Amino acid sequence: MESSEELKTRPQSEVQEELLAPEQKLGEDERTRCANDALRSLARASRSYLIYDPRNDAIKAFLQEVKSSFDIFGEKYGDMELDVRPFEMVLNGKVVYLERDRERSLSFKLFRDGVRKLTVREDVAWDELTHLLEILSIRYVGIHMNEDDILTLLWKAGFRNIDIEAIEGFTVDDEQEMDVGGATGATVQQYASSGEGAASAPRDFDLPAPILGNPARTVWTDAGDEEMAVLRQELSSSNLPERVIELCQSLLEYSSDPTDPLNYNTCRYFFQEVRDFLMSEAELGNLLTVLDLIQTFRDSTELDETTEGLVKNLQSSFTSVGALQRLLQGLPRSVTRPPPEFKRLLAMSGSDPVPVLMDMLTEERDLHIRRFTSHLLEMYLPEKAQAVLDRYHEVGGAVAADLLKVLGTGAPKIAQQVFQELVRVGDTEVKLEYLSQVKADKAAGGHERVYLVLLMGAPEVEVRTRAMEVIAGRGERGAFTAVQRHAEAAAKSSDADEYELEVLGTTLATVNPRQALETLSTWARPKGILGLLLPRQLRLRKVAMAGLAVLPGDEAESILRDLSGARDPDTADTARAALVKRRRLAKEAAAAGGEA
Amino acid sequence: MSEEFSEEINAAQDRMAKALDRAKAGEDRELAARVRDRGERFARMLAGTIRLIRIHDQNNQAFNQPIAELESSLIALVDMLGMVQVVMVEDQVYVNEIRIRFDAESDVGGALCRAFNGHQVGGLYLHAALTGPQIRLLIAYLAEPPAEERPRSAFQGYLEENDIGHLQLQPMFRFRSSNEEVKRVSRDVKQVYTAASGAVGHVWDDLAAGRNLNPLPIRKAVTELVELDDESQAREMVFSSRDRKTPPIMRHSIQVATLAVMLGRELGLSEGQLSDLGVAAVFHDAGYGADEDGFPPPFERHGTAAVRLMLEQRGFHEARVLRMLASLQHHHPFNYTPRPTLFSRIIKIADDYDTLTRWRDGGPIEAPPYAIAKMYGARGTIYDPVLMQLFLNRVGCFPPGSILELSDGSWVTVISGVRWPGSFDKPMTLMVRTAEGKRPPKQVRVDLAESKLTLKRVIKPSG
Repeated sequence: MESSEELKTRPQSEVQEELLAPEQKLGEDERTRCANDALRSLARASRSYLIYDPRNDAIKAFLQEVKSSFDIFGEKYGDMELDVRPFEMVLNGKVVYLERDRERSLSFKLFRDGVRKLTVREDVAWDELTHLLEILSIRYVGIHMNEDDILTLLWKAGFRNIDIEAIEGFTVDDEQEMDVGGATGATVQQYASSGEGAASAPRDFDLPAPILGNPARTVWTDAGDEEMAVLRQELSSSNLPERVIELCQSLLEYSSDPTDPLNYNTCRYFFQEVRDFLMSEAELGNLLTVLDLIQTFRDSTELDETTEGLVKNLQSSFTSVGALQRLLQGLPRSVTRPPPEFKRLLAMSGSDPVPVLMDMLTEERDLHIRRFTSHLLEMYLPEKAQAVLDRYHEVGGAVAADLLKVLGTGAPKIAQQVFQELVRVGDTEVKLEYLSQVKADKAAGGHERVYLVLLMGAPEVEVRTRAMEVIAGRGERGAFTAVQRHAEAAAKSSDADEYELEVLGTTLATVNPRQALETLSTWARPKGILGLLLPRQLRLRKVAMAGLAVLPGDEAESILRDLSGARDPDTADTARAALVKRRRLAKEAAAAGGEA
Repeated sequence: MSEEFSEEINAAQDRMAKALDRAKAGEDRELAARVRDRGERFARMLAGTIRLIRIHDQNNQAFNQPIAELESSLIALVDMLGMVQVVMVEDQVYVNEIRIRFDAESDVGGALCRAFNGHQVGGLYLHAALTGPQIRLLIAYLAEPPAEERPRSAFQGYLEENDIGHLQLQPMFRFRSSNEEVKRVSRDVKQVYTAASGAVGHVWDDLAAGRNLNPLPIRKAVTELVELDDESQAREMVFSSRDRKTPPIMRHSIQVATLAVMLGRELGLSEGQLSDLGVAAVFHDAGYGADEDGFPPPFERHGTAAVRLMLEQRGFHEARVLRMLASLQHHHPFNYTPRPTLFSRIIKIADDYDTLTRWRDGGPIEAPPYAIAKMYGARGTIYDPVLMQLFLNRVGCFPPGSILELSDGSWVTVISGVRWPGSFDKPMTLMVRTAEGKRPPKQVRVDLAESKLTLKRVIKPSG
């Protein structure tokens, strides 16, 4: 097995392939094969969390596989009763899972924690299977496992349709039990016989006793179901953030008490954990509360230089790239714009958030989060426009496009200059990436029109046509005149791209059908002999026919019919093709209307 | 894929993402890789240094570099993990559950296992980093032949003599094979109690040696407590009340856990919540095991002292949060502002009840029936009224362990809680003294719900 050094030098894709490669396929009969499929899918899904972010789409495929394979086994063969051995699992005497690599082996993980039998009943619910998967996955990726192991997690889960039989996994060698390790060690027997041990609590550890009043007459009374439910509700997970805040407040209060040895240094790792927990739950309000508490502590307590530095680092860490990523990953997808608390959070970190946000754009792949981050950046413009511009010049591709969008919203004057330069001499990838983002961002404002129109003047055909498609897709009515002028200019060139002419026509028709009908009719039926002969007019006619193909109404249809009988074969063919397109679109619209 | 199925998958993915995020709170994303990397480096250097000691004297300069690297490697590991656990089993080396991979040709794992296993040591718990001189001492000992008798004890003794008690040696581990006879912990009350004593004993052992709290073994012991039925729990109360051998702080921790779990069950908490509650109860007074300039903390600081110990454990966990709050709040009255948490209020009842009724020199402060009556009188002010009622409903007005004199002059010990509401003041008892004042020749149970005998008076033991 390779060492970690060697694994690090290997491409990530190779490591992924190794971790995700399925175990050996087994099964001499259908039942065994079916069980093998289910267990391999469970193991693979658990391992996938070592590589993929839990929200990655790749995880969905593994989850589907788990559901399908267990459903199939349950329906066909009922309960799956497995004996768990170090590297294999056995069903009715037949091996149905085998993996000897301890890193990869699901069997080894279970066996090591003491599981000896695992039964998955045929009625196992999906939420139970995912809970089982969650436990196994946590065990695969978890570091701090001194709170729970697989056994205690399985026990706490309280499964209805999954049974476990277990013993202690690692065990002390029987011969070793009496050799208890050192002068201060003790066995139960030693405690039992001598009454002494290593306990160092004072004799009166539990005094003073509570001071109570007179005894009351004791009676059995129903405590009340509702009252009990209220108490149980206190343990609801939804109350955990509140509990965490309460604890943070207590810890900071005690830390500022010079008579108590509890100090900030002891607590600081816990505060980092709290930070990450609240971020993963997207508890923005509570994050601000914690930051408020920390700031109050900092303001009201005399701290030495080291501690001051530690506190400051903690505050900054609330808005590090990693922290923000965690926070944004926890946000519901329905939240597309930053609430005002975000700016407050960023302000409270004490450091300039703009470089951090720009770094996030470089590191984050998720489109939703990138868009959100862009909106966050916009809040700092126009004051920080120069910083954004400087970064724009350093990067390329999608990140540059993101920054362009940010400038476009937050610093239009600067953006206009940037766009003009971009159109002239800029990176094609940036232009296309920008267009993709504007197309995908349904919530984008109307100011993009200016930039889209500028991009229509780009030297690259692909950029021009894509810009027009975006204009059409967004229904930018105000761009009609610009598109019209562009069409007229394009028609003048003998190199005019056929596809571009087509897109020009459809764009005009889409953004303003009424005005388009008038313009396109004129271009389709130019006056005079020259109108039929001049190449420019012929090209404009092509634009017109493309537009008429998508314009609703009888007049557009009538014009195309006329043109389908033109003497010029090219015109006639194009017109006929346009009519075919009209019919196809009409059918599609009717079908879509019928389904609705 | 159907839309419904797709929604199910999406929902499952969201839930799992949240659970994993929570499990990883406090870690950065590359922590596992760094642990593996550091762990491997540590293991290699340790194995290499052990080989060197067979060639050179420990004071030879050849050791300077490797020991300096070992020291910094350990500091980094402890900083990352809080407590470092190294387990060496079957030629494999694990650092905090992560298996360390070595080259196929190298025998680092095997070398380490042999070096330590020779002293019957299967694992190391490092509660703090080792200094360079401490590492030298460790290596020097490993180079010597193991002690003939109780080699691991001797090794641990050597470490403690040299102020390296924060390195805790673990026995050899092996995997229990499926066809072995398994010594399961049965539901017998005595065995459960004994096992719990053992687990709690190790906690206090660790505290005395300056080591960190480790909740996992306690959780396993508490699981057994949670699974006791009502009758067994009552018997556990009696057993504990008579226990004179277990050191008081440990007995108290177990009893408070038993009572808290009993009350939690009466409230209808889930088994997982009962488990968390039980662990919190075991640790509520762990602060007395902390060190303040060589002395245990005073009463007013034992709560924060416990929290200091708990903060050494890394990893965000709901149970840990509730446990720390319980340690801080378990002496706060019900009407305190802010209101103590549910766990704190439950543990307060259990804690105060045991404080009032536990055996001490000169006898308990109160006999159980008076303790419960006084506590009941303080419901709504000092104690949560609903919880107090539930506790009373469960243990009755003559709680298990109470000693009663009956109308015929015999003495009985109460061995049951409330079996049904009508038995609230009529528990099952066991005769401890006949009417003639003698020990009964055989076990005699007196069910006060059926017997014609009535209560004459409550006996308060005097010691």
